[in-house]
Amino acid sequence: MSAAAIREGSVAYREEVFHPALKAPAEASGTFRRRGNGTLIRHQREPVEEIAEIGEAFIALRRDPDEIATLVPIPADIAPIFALLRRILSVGSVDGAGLSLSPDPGGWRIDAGPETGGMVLRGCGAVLQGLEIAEPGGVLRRITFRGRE
Amino acid sequence: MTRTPVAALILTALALAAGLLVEIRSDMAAVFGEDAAAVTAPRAREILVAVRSDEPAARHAAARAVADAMRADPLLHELSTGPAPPDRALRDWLWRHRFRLAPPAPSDVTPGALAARLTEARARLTTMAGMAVGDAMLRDPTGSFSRLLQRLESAQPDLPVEEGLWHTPGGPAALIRGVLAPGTQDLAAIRALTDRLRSAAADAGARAIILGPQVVSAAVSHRAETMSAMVGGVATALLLAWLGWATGSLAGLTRILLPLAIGIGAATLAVQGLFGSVHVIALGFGGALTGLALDYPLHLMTHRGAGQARARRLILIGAATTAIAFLALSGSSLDALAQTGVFVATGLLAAGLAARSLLAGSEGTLRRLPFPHRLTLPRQPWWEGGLIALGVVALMSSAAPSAERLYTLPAQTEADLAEIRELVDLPSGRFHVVVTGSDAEVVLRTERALLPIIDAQIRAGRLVSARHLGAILPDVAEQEARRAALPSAAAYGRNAAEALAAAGLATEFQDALVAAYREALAAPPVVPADFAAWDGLSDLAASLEETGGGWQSVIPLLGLTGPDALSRAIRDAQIPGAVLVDLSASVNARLAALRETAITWLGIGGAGAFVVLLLLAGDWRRALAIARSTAAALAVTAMALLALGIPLGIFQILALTLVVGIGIDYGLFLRLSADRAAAVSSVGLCATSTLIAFVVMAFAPISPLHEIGLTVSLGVCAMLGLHLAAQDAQTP
Repeated sequence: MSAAAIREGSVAYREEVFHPALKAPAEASGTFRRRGNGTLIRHQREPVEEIAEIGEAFIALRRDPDEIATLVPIPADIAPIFALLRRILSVGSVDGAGLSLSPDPGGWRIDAGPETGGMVLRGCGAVLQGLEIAEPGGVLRRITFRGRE
Repeated sequence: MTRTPVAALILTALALAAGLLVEIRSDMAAVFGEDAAAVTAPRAREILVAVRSDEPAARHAAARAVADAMRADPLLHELSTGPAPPDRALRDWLWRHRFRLAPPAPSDVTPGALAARLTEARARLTTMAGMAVGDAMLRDPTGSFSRLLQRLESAQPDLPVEEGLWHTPGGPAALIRGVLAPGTQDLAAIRALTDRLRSAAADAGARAIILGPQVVSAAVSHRAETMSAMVGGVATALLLAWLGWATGSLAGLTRILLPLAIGIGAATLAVQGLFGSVHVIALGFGGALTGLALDYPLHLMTHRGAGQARARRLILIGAATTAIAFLALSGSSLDALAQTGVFVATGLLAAGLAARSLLAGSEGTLRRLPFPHRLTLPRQPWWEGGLIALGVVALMSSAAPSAERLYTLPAQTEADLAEIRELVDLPSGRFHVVVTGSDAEVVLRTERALLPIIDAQIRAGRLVSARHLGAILPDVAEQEARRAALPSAAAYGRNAAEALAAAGLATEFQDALVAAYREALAAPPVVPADFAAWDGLSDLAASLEETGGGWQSVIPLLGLTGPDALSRAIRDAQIPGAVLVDLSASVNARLAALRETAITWLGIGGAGAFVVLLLLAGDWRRALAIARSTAAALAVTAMALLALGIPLGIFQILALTLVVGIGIDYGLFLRLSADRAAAVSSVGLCATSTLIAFVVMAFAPISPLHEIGLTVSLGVCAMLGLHLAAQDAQTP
């Protein structure tokens, strides 16, 4: 997924959430879209519909497009994850972002540092294929981008 | 002629000393007392700032600039600009103490209930909320942590948010809530703060509307000061012109003014020495009441030869009599009253002595005016006795005026109030539930007992919300009792294993669930002081304050439409320490108490003054007649005020005391002077001077100035009439 792709239209994603309590990861899917004002729209369609407009300090949440949004402040400890994600998606490249690059069987891995809760970006060449976010409690979120819709 | 430079030198020294030593106060504790909950309660210290601009970017920038200015100001104790999400540290603290704050009920820890919550938590893992609290939901299937977060969220104001800032529902204004630091009662400082905040908003291209009980008080006070300065300026100019004409020379005018100036200087320093500071009320009222001393030079400069020697003695008697009456006020426990008493007593005596020294032996140089030498009132003693009796009845049957009469809201404040009420529902500025107790735990227990009553009012549509600490924090005894009712970790572990299996989750996660349960059971009790440490909770903790004799919390009521029903419900529930307070009634009660205090002490002072008059006048019959005519004129004035619909409040009482001083002065000269013609002329000059000042005041557009002016003007006319009608005067 490139930044241009996000700017131009929706990009489908698939999310897996791993947790010690789960025998198998919880799965979700939907699309990402970036708006002109810099906010990122995460539209989850499965297993339940949820539209999240992720801004700098707040997430506007709706269960369907016609619902009035509920504004949820982004907790300070999660904010860096979203900030980094928005930054990378805005510039369309990890070059010069001060991130460490390392070889990976799937292409390359970028460790975004401890302040992001251990977020790892996966990709090959200039294409961002997915990201992993390690959360406290042994939770791991793996988001895989599946191309433009 | 050398006395004038000496007096000017003394005045200069007094002015220099006052400038160096005197500290001016304007706090309300001096008027209402240190324990005045009505003016010191946290809700009475609240400030609401609405930052208006139709341009969102300018509005947001201005709101942040105002918030920064408030945050940096030592007058501000608390500040909130928008919803504050609990950060990781607060979430961890809430997690550890969840069983203290929102413990599960036994029905929450059955295998079925646990399984249902585990299933729900698993589903939420993929939502945005799951990123923040998904793991916690799975580790606490009792629902305790989830309920706690919901309670905290519901405790936040229900307002729209733009760019992290609370906004009015219509959107054109960002809202900032602040609380002044405890003990902040300096109205001048509060007004300076509001000016700074308005400037901060204006610099960022927006307009700030600032309201709050103390802010309104500061605006009212400022308007009163401005109007007083204007009225005082006009009255002073007219008075100087009149006295200049009467003396015919600048030197004569100087000699009239010097004793009064010396009296005020000495009085200011005396109050500073005795009380450590001078309250603006003492300065304002004391200064006006000491204005009576302007009469002393007029008497001395009108009388000649032996008549002047007699006048010097009468001035001393008049000053001592009035000083004794006012000195009694120093017995009051209220600083403003006590200071006023000392101020007037010192000022009159100092001015009297200065006039005697400065004008001793000087020939009468004032113009003689064609005042009537005598009025006729047949059977004057009987009439006066009747008037006194009627006056006493009228005074006893009159009620204290409401606080609303004391001030006139400035037009800008009225407009701001109207504008902000159109934008947003404000918590009632008049009604609060006040909870008191011997300690913080007792207050919390009482707040918990109020929960069902408040909920019932909300369900009945008579109240929108009532935010308070007790809604979230149980007292320690309740925390312990509810924790003791929870199952053991072993029993919980068995239920958890069954629930995990039923929800299709990994049964090995049981150990993690039991560990989290044990940790929550082991958490120490939570007390209000723990809340004070967290940004998202500190304002709730701040609503609970230690007072002089215990603890108190003030619960603000949003959207209250049925105060009587709420008051009745609280009363019927017989919850000790909880009461619905009508702030307006509370202030009125304090004003009534202030009025009673003033009347009591002035009554004692009046009795003392009468004794002094009897002792010093040297003629007990005439002294008695002076007292009788003065009391009768006082009664006429009081009844005239009541007939005009002006209740006898604290301002009227103090103004009437000045009228008494004036009456004694007129009585002494008109009944005991050796030169009737000179006495009539000097009393006429004095009365005209007083009327010039106070008639101007009577035309002031703000209530206290207008009513004081009217009171003294009517009083002077009544005193002049009855004392001129005296038949027992010295032979003309």
